[in-house]
Amino acid sequence: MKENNSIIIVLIDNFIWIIILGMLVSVTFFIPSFLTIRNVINIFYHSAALAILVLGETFVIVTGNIDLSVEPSLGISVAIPGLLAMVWVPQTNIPTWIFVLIALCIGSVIGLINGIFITKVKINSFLMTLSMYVILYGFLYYLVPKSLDNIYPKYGWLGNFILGIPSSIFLVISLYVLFGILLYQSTFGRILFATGENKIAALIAGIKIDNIVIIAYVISGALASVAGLIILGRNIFISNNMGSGLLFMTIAASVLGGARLEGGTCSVLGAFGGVILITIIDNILAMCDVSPYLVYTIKGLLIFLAVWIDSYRERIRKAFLIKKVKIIT
Amino acid sequence: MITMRLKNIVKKFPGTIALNNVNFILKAGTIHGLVGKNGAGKTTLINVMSGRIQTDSGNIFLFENKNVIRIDPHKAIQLGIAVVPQEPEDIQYMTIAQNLFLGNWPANKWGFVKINELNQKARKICKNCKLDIDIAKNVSELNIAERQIISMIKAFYTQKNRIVILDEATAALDKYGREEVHRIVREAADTGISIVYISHELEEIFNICTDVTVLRDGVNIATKKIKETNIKEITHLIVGSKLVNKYYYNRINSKFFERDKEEVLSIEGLYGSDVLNNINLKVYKHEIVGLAGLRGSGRSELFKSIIGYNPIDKGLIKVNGNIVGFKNPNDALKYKICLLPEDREKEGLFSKRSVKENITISSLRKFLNRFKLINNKFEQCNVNRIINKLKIVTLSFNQEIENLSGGNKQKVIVGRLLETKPILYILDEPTKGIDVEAKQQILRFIIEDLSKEGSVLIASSEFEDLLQICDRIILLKKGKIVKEFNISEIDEKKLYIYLEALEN
Repeated sequence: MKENNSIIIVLIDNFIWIIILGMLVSVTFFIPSFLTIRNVINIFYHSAALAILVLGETFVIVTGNIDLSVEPSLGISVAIPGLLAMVWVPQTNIPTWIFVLIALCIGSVIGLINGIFITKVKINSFLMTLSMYVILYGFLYYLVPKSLDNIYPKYGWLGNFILGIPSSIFLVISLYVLFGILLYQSTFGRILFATGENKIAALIAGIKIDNIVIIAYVISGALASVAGLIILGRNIFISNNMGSGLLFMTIAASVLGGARLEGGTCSVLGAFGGVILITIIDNILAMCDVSPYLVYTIKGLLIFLAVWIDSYRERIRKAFLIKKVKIIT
Repeated sequence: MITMRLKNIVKKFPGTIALNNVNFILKAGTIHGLVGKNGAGKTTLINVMSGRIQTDSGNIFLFENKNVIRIDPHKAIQLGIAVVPQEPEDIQYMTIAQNLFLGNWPANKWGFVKINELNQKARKICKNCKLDIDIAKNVSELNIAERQIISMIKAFYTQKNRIVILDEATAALDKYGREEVHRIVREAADTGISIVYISHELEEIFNICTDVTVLRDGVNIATKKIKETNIKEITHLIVGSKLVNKYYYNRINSKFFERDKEEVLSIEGLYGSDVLNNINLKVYKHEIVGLAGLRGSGRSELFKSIIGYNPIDKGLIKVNGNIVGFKNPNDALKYKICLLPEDREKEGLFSKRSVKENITISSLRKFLNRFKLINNKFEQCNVNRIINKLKIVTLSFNQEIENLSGGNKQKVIVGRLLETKPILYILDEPTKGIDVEAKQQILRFIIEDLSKEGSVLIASSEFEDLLQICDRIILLKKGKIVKEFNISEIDEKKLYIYLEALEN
């Protein structure tokens, strides 16, 4: 995109960061305590789980599908190893790495099932993952009727601090870099974009589109379990409503970050911007002591406003590009 | 009485003049045939008549009216001008009656449809047309000829149009279906409706039309009464006298034209995709084989079957002597067989992605570095080489491809094939919808580069393109290979005559 080498295009492509900047400036003006190091770390800390979910969701959205099952699969992939260690075989004291491995496997398998049914059986991704959402939530309620709050603290290692900074922040940054490279610099990333943009053309160009979509779902499922581990690290208990409410935020952040639900377009940096924006909104509402009954409404309205402003981006970009092409040709 | 008069119509598209000073007179109650090669301007002309495109200059007069009229699609409906396309545009799950009166159902004051009245009206219309058909049947149960007849009756009688344009409306029909359509069309003309009849089959034109107009290169070459002319004369007018074989001679002198009898592709007894009927075909090394056929001849289906996009019912495909059964295009790519699809936008391009990504999508593996990541410099270098070689006009390789012109988009896909270094290039209508300059560049490129590196199997409905570049031409009709020519024994006129003569 840089090669379009005009600053305006770059600005339009990173519109979300302009919104964030505007928000920061105005909020700092009204609430001076907002831009303290402690609060900034706090914002990043609370955005970690959402950031990981968004990363996975973005990979699915770019293929033109959607994954609604991330929220319960986050819970269930932590609940099962948790139950295993604390209830089913209490004295075993499972090592942390096995705990993590089980969580990742469960998330990936859920993604795999989603992906296989969507590509091979050709079930609409919305309906497939919605069914998965209901099935998993039901199962989660059955497994964890009431919170499991005597978890060994070692399983919450992602809540630890390194040099005063939560380790989950390091994890988020490294995963974003890793998956950013995967998306922009690997064959898989190129093929992923192409598949999302035009499935028929991708197939004719010799791409195995089914496999690509399945892999995207596996990534989304696995990252959901990472998000589960992060939340576990923050809470040190397992409940049946872990991460509830995150699904809408996940999709909103992806779209705010420049992903189109039709597929073919997304941005890892933009998605991260979406996450930050949503967490800032959360943070501001908390600092302003807004009635908890109103928080959702105001948050919803603010996100809606951002999506609305954002909807002009594509049009402005197009108009600008056409003008430019006309000058040249 | 004259129902429509077009005077000095000019329409230019980037790089080409689609209509050049065309005059056209349509009289009431006549069936006016419109013939010409692909790209002669027929489609543009009917788009002008039906208001889908606006002319650059020239005037349109309607119904003895002295005033110039500007037609747009909305006005066309009011004025009673309709187009019946090749594919019926009906709603499959509705009944015939509902389809006949679509958008105009009789309703009571509460807005509910009066089904009895609707069915009665529909029954009456069908009876008047001597059509023995159950109007309560769903359209999905009808065959293509019946569906086409229903669309025509709708255009003729329920919408009460005064000018109806049949755009290759019979191309997909068999002989029996055609006769039925002809009867309906004749009866409609008798009631005073003016009909423009477009068909590639001259026999049909002579069977049904009262007048015929020949277009060539956007010019109205002649308008004649059917009684005063014959098929031979019209064929001559359609094709013109231009000699087009010039590239062929270059090729025959070049040292690359040595047909070593090494088979690259061999197809034996292939059936599939509902149309393909016992296809036998061989392509030799460095050979350019042309597949001549009109729309619906099954050439795209054949190509898609070869690369494994469409399933095969029966038959053998051999590549370099090995029997292969590609399950998907990815398998074909492994054997280095690539398809340039017919529908560029829908089947070829990733329109929001960059030129670079569109070119390298099938050959990414060769740009990987030791970390299995894409080596940007190497990739960009290759892309720039392709851009220069194919003379693709673009701001840079990062330009989004949707901003390129049709010809340049097509060149990008050719570049994509080239990057995979295939042993067989399968090109489906590579020159469709692109300007003359790009067309010549692509044709030259096929001869000078593609055929040096591999064999080429190319389909086109523009026969003069095939005649320019092919070593061998295979005539395909309704899924069947009907004739095979060496290039030296055929010219465009002969090809047209064969296409006519081999009807049924």
